[in-house]
Amino acid sequence: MDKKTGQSNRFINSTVILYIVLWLLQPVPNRTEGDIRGIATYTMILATVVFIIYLAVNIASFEKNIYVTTKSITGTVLAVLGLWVILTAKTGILEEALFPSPEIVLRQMFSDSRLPGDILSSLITLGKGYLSALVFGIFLGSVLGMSKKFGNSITYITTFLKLIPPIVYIPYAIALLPRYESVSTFVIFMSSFWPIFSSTYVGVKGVEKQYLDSAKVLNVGFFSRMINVILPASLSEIFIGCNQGLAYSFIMLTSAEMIGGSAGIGYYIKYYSNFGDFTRIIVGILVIGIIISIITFLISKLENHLLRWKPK
Amino acid sequence: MNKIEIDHLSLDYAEKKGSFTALQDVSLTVKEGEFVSIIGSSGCGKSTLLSVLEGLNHPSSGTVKINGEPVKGCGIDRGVVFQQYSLFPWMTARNNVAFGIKQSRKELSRAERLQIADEYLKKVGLDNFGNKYPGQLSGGMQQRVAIARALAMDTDILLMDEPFGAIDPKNRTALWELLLELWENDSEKKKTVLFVTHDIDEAIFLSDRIIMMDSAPGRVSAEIEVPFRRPRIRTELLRSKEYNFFKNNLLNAFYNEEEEVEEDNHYIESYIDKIAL
Repeated sequence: MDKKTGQSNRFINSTVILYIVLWLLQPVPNRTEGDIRGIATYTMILATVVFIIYLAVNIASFEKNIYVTTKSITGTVLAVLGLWVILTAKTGILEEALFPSPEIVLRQMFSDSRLPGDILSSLITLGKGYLSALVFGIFLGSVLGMSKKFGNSITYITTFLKLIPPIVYIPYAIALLPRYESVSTFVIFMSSFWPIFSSTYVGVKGVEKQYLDSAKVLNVGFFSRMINVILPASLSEIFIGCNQGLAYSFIMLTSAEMIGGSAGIGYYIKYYSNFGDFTRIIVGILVIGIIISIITFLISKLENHLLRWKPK
Repeated sequence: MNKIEIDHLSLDYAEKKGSFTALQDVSLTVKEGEFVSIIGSSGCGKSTLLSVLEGLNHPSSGTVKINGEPVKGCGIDRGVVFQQYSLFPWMTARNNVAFGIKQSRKELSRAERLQIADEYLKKVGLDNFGNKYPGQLSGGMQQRVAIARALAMDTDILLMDEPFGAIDPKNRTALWELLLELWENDSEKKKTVLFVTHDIDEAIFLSDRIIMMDSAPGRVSAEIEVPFRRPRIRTELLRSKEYNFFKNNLLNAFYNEEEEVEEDNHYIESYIDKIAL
């Protein structure tokens, strides 16, 4: 028994076996017409890349939880690829037109010429809408939170506005705004502003009086108090709103692009669904999943870093 | 020279029905370089009195002067240590101290501030803890950092509001000795300290003078000079007969009426003569 990882064997286990099975499947002839013969290059490159990452973590002996996470992610990717290729290309159990094999999807993903442009367009729209909501939400939330004049009225108003599903703004925004990109940006702004604003307001309002007193007796000026005392004290509350706003943003981004956009990853899916191109639809869905995962991962890293002082 | 002068201070809090008198007609003076404790049961207004000096509360009537000037809000001429929450948990120990220095000594560069912060952390025995966050330190260590910050700010006056109230007895006595040592040796001119506590041993061991307060409404009930010579050695002092006699008298004064306090003062005075011999 390996003490460090708690694994009975680090080199013969389910992950390694899955990887070997994937290789053994390669010589099995395809039953579908669309798939190329021989080794599924893209599938095997992907499988090998995740497997090498797994091996590297395994050999480098990181902490146990990093190892276990890598192992389960690698295992899941390999299992999904294996199951997928068996159900499609190797047996033809699933309808070929509706369920392309992983090789076809991956080849499309890495060779699609318009995909990078659509991804970029989506990220720019998301960035504009979300970042402006972040700036306005945190600024207004903290200014109103610090002011003594506004009592609970703000909370009632924001709760009401927060409850409105932001998707209903889309038709109105299309009518009001000149260009379609600004519609997406506006809708993302609307959907993420309220959660960010209200969590900042609540967080700032709830900063413990003792910290404010401590800042007062140190004679801390207004801006320093805001940046060095009030915002850090309410940061974990603010992050709740930021994460919620981000989740809404992703939904709104793709919805807005699918309803009437002319670019972006949502539009990409909508466009190819008109032609019944299920390969590209799956590519689009996977790409959205990957992008959202990366952004969410980076934000949670940022949150952990900024809140590293919190006792666990 | 009188560093702090409180003259007929009263403080009323507005409540839903009428008002609550937290302090009534409090007058006292603290000389420069004097270490004065304010002792009293919970709710006697001792912390409220300190908060007026901190600038967090304003008198309803009467005057509060520091260096002969009426107190107008908070100021960087006073270093403050609270029982808890003095430090900002999102700043490391070093940055907490440096942040305090930044407020009181704006002329210093960031590097100088950090250097002074490290010096003071060393003085309170935390030289290896500069990069730790308050949440990673014990309660006693956090108060050491708070003391380091208050001292590093280099103010004339230290206001301490039950700073060791939440610390276990063993660490508390260690902090008494640290505080006295720093107070006696840190700067050329001794700082004026006003120290709020409900621990009678703490008050005797630390102070030159003890002010007793009584509640409902909060007022000064007695002022007693502490006769023991400095530097005080805790183990010797706390075991001595004189100490226990003094403490018992103080306890009597604490629990009895004001008239008897006069009498007790008389006992104590006769004892002071005895010790002096």
